[in-house]
Amino acid sequence: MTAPARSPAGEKPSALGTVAPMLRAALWGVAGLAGGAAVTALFSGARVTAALPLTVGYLVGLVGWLLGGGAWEHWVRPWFGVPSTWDEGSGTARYWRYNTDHKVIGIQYLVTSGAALFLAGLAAMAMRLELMTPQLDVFATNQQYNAFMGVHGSLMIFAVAVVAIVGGFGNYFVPLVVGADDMPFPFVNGISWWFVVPGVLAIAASPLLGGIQAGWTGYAPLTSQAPDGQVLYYVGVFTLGVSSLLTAVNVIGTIIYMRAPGMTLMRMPMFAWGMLVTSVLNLLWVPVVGTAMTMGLLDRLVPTPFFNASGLPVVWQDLFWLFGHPEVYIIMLPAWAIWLEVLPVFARKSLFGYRWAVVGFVGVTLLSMYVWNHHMFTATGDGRAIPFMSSTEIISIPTGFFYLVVVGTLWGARMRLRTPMILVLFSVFNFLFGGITGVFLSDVPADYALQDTFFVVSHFHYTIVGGMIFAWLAALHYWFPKYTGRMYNERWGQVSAWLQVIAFNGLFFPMYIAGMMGMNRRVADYLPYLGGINVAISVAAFVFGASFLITLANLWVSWLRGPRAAANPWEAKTLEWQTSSPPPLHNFASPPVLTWDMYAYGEGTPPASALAALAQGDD
Amino acid sequence: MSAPAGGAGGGGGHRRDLWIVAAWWAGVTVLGEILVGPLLRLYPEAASREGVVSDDAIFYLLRLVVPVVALVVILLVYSMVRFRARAGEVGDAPAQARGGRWAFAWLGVSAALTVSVIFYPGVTGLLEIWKSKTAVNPLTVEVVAQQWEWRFSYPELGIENAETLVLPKGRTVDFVITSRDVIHSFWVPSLRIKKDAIPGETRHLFLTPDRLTSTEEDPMTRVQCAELCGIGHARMRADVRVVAPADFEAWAAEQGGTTASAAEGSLPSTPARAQAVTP
Ligand SMILES: [Cu+2]
Repeated sequence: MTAPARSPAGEKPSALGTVAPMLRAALWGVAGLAGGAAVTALFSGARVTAALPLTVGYLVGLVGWLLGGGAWEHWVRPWFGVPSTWDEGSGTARYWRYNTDHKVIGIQYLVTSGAALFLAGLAAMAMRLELMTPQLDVFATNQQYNAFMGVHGSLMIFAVAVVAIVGGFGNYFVPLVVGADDMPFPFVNGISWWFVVPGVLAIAASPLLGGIQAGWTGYAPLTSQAPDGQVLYYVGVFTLGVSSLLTAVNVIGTIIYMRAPGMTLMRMPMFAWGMLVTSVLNLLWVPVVGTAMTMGLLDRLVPTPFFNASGLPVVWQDLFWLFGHPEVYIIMLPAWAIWLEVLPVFARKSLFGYRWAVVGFVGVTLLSMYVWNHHMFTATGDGRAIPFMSSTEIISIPTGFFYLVVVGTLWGARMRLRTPMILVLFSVFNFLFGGITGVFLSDVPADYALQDTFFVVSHFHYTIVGGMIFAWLAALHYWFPKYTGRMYNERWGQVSAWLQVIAFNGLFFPMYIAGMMGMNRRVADYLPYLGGINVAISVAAFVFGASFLITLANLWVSWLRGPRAAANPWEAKTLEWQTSSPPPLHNFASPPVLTWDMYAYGEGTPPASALAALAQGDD
Repeated sequence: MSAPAGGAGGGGGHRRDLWIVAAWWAGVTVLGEILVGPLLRLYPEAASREGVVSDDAIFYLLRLVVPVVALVVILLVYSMVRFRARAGEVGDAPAQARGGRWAFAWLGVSAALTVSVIFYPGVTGLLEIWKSKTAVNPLTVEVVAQQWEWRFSYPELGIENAETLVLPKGRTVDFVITSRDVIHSFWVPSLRIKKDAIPGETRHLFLTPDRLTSTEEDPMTRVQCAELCGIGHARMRADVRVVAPADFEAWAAEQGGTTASAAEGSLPSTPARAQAVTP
């Protein structure tokens, strides 16, 4: 891998110089958006904000943004034989420009998905405020409520759930845990994050154009009546998908071709296994949702009749969920990987059943491609009920293996209950209820009653927030000393974790009951008999939202002023801990050779301090 | 598996802990099962034969998962308390015991449970619900969904475009469901089973109301659109009355006299009301 030019450390750039490339990217992006839309509007005679000018403007703006961030110097000039003049910067300047270091890219992803989580969380708070009372009062119209709902769902799914762990920790830690110096295609990797920002901005800006009125699932033909905010959904989701695809290629390449000597597939860290199967799913299914988004957009632009009554409306659902169900596991597989990565370190006990975990990863991945119709039992004919009910129930068997490994590892442990461990245990606890209620929803007779109610809303929030977001929080704390070189505040970490688990369950558990009592989803007003339970849900929601501010403050302050962390504060045995914190440019002082079992803890196994010497070579 | 209690040797060595967990598990499971009964009685009874099948599935699964949830939660909590590093314990735990036997037991039990729920309450429940498709002499009710209202026609009785859904108790109803614009979902929460209304397609839903009820008595007895269909989605409701067969005859006769005026108030065939939601 050729190392791109990086400026020597020493000269400290001005604040403006630090952010200059991103400012240029924004400028070129806005110019492209405005120019593309204006010219198209001129030729087509449509409003500037109509579907076609908007689409063209977005695409031109996207290219402008990518070029302005550094792709002009680093990608385009070399195509014409002119050598790249791009300087990847040093210090904080690296984060504000096109950069090919996987660790810089990981932080870029992490911060962006954190910002998306914040925006989408604010939208959720506004929705819960509205739902405090049965009638519409906070929002002026149902349309405004739906616009917030569309932003909440679309950002949370496409910019947080599938991006935060895979893009953030996947980019940062996959090369580190397998002992590689970077990813195989750093040029591609450098550009991948730059697709996230326009995608997030498009979705976040959708309320300006009437909002994403059909929710994050974008069911046709409702979308055909929706205002042009819908266009931003199609292009935004598509762009975020491109980012996921590029990351998938790099993650798979790193894991297949760049593992340290001695690291066979069956000695790979759990995190690498989780990222590998997740990236395979991304590679296979993100193109399907890209196709769906393109067809949906064409239904507006041309307009083609793919998904209206003269086409076949339910085909949208097939295409969406063909991606959408594997996607549920694109969200959960990384979370399980974090469970199993963190548990042995803090249990101070060897991982129980490594092979069972691998079978779980592979089994869930394969089965996840055959279950999508369980989102559509009330929409499709009876003939699809039994096959998809069966495949969906069966996926609980490999899922159960993760629980087997967790309880097997905890049994007889000598646990240190630090924040990452506590958060993993909470994730295990929460996901239990998400998984168990999935059994109810896959049972078609029960699903006929529960589909499209708050029971479903609660079910998938238990898996995605209770499972994945809690695991992401665990990883934020677990790897914090590694990616910042500093230690977070343990007391505040534990306070926020406990607050989060209590508020989370207070928020979502009553939703199961509300759903069974007839509370259908995606409504701003409801019948008064459901009033009391909704007040309770909203109060818990506000506490839950506030608890994230504690986490944010803790990590922010610790990053700036926390005590310096040792290279391996947890005495872990995986490779990322056997190098300095944060790791140097190419990760390891000398290429590591794996000679030990990374999950072997306990009497008679070498302590981590001995491993550090092994990994560092003789420096 | 003969290591002394609490000694080295991993999983097998914590025999005493296993017994304590087993006791907790048994206790919590029994308590949970005892509590589930009264809890479920708080849940309003389904008002259709098919809805009862759906409820039975939910209740059965709830009883089935009590021991599963209890086992995992007890193992988590017990481990957090018992297997925590005490002050002064700095080293690692004893090396991992081989637990193949436990793992295969886990696989066996989870596979057996999974396969069993596919058959009961899954397949058997569906077959029970689908039995109504072959009911003798069902009452046909054509359900037309349109932003943002429901219309019910009874072709055999010459009743068109009623705004209230009136059903006779004890007779299977063949709901013939379609939509004039976007996808909606036909759902009466107290009848439980829902079916989507899809433009360009017609779906049948067979339900047999078996309890006298009405929207005034019970807000769960209402037609409620369950699939997001635009800004009027939340209020896309209609009143429902399940009445005795004789009362139904009387209602039908009364409606029959006003068929013409009901038809006059019918919906336009082009979805003029399907105005785009403008910003
Ligand atoms: Cu509707």
